[in-house]
Amino acid sequence: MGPFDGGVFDKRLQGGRAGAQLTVDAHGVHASTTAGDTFDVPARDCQLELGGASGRMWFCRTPDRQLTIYSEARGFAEALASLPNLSQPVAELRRHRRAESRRGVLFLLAALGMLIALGIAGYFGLDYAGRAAIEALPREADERIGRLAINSMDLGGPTVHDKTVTDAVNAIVARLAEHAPGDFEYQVRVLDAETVNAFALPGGQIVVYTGLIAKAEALDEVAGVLAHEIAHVTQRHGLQRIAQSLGVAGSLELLLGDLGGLSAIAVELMRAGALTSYGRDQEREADEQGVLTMHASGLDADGIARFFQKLQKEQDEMEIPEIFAWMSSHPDLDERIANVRAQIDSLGPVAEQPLEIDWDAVRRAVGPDAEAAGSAAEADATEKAPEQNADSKAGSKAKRRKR
Amino acid sequence: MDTSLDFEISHRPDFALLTIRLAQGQQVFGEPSAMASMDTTIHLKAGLRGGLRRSLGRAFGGESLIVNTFSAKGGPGEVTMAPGVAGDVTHYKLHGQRLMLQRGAFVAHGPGVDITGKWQGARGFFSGEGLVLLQASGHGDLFFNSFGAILELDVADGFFVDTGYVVAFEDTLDYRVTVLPGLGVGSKVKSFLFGGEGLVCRFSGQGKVWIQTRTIHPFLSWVHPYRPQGRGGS
Repeated sequence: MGPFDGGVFDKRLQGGRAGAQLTVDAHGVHASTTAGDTFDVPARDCQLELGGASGRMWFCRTPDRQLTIYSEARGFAEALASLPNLSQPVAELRRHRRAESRRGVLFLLAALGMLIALGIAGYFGLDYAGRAAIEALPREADERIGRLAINSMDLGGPTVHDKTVTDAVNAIVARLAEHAPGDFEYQVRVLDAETVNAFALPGGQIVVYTGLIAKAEALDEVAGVLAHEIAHVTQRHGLQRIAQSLGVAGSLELLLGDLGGLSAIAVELMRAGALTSYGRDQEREADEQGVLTMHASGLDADGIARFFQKLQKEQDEMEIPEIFAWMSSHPDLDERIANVRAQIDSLGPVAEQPLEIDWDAVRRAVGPDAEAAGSAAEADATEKAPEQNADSKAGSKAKRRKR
Repeated sequence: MDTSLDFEISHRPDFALLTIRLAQGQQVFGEPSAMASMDTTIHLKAGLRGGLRRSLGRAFGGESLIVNTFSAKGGPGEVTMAPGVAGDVTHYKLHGQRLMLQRGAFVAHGPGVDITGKWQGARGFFSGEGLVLLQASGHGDLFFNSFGAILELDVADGFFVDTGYVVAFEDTLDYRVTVLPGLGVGSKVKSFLFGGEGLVCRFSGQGKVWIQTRTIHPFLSWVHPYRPQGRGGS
C-alpha cells in the first residue's frame, strides 16, 4: 500500500535524516528517499511508536533503533494495521493516545473551571472584604460622615422648636434607641416642610419633616417610620452604600484605614443624593429590624404597616404628588406591608407600653393652622418663605426627598 | 531539477545577514520588509503565496499574509535579507520532512517549500507563545531567524526548553508544555510564581531543536524604563 509521505532516520544519510516515499506490503515497511536511497524495516522487526509534534505520527523502528521510518500520512496506520503482527500494537497505541487526549481535555476543563472559580471568588471576596472593613470601622466613622453630610445638605425647611413636637419625637426615638441594637446616639431634627419624609444619616442623625407627622394619625405610625430609619443607622447601611461605590481600589484603601478618602466619597454621594437612598435589600432589612425594635420597645409594630397603607392609598388615588417622598424610594408597598404583617404574626403578642404622648396635640402643633395658634414655630416662619420660593433648588430637593 | 540556492549567511551571530545569489530564472521567497538590498536584475512581486488558506495560516502564525517573490528575470543577481530583530539566521534543508517554527521566525525559503500555520490547541495556549506555530514542509531551502544566537540540538531521549527559547523543531519530535518535573506541588507553584522558570517544552522522541540564546521579552522589560514618556494628549 502507498505511497505515503514520510521520512527516514538513519546514520548513513547526510544529516541523519531525509524525507521519503513509503510503501507498506506483507514484507514490511519500505522507504525511498528523493536521493534514491532505499530502506526497509521487516514487519516482524518493526517496533511501533506514536508521537511527533502532532501526536499522530507513526514511527516504525528496527530493534537496534538504527533505522526509523515514519509518517503521519492518512492511511499509513491502517496500512500498518493490515500486517498481522502489527494490528494489535496499532490498536493499543491508538487506545493509549485517545486516553491521553481525554486526560488532556479534562485537565484543560479543570484548569478553565479553576480560573473561573478564582475570578468569582476574587470578585465576591473583595465585596466581602469591603463589607468586613465597614464592620470593622469604629462608630466614629459613621458619626463623622453623618455630621459631614448633614452640614453639607440643604435640608429644605426651618427647624421646629415647638416643644410639643420635639419632645414627642425625642421621646419616641429615645424609647426606640433603648431597644435597638448598637449604641448609637441619635440626634433628631424636626423640620417644617410639607414633604411626607424622614431620613437617617450614618451615625444617628435623624431628620423628620412635619408633613410626615401631620400625615400620621397615630403615634405608632411615626414610631414605625422612625424605627425603620434607626435600623438604617444600626445596620450601617450608609457606609455599606459608600463601600459599594468605592470599587476595588477604594475598598483596599478602606482596609488600610484611609478614612480621609472615605469622607470625600461620602460628601460626593451626598451631593448625588445617594447616601440616603438605599437598595431594596437594605430597605427589607430595615423593615425587619424596625419591626423587631418596635416590638421590643412595646409599641405597636403594625403602625409601620398602617402608614404604608396610608401611603399606598394616596398613591393610588392621585398622580404621585411630590410630597409623598418617603415612599418614592420604597417600591412594592403591598409586598412590604405583607412582609411586615407576616413578621409581626411570627413574633407573637406584644406587651404594649404606650408612650404618654398626646398625639392629637402634636399633630395640631404641626397642622396648617399651627402658626395661627401661636406655636413656637413662628420664629422660623420668616425663614420659610424664601425656602419655598427657591425653585432653583427643586432639583436638589427632589433627590434628597428620596429620604 | 536542483532547486538548491546559493547562499551565504554573514555577520553571525548577532546581526546576521542572508545573501542569496540567484541564477537566471531562479526564485526565492522572503518575508515582507526583510529585503535589505538587491541587484537590478531581480524582480520583486508581492502576493498571497500558496493560496488563501496557507496565507491565513501564516498570518495566524505571526507572519505576514504576504510573501515577496524575488525572481532573477533579467539575469543572475544577489538579494540580501535581514530579519527584524538582532540575531542569527539559520539554514535548513527540507527533504520532505517538516519543521515547526516559532511565531515570527520565518525569513525566506526557496522553491518547493510551503509555509503555513498549524493549530497547537491547549499546548499553544499554555506555552504563551501563540496558538499557532508555523509549519514548513516540502523540498528545498528554508531560512529562519532567532533573537540572539542560535543553537542546534539533537534530542534523543528527552529535553526541556523554556517555552520562550524555542525557535524551531522537527515535527518528528513529540512536545508538550509542562512545568518542571521532579518537584512537589508546593515547590512547583513556588518555582512557577517566583523562580521565573515557568512553563517548559518537554521534547521527546527523535529530532532536532533549535534554541535561541536570548528571548525578546526580558529584553523589552529591560529597555522599557529608558523609553521617553509619552507627551500629554498624544
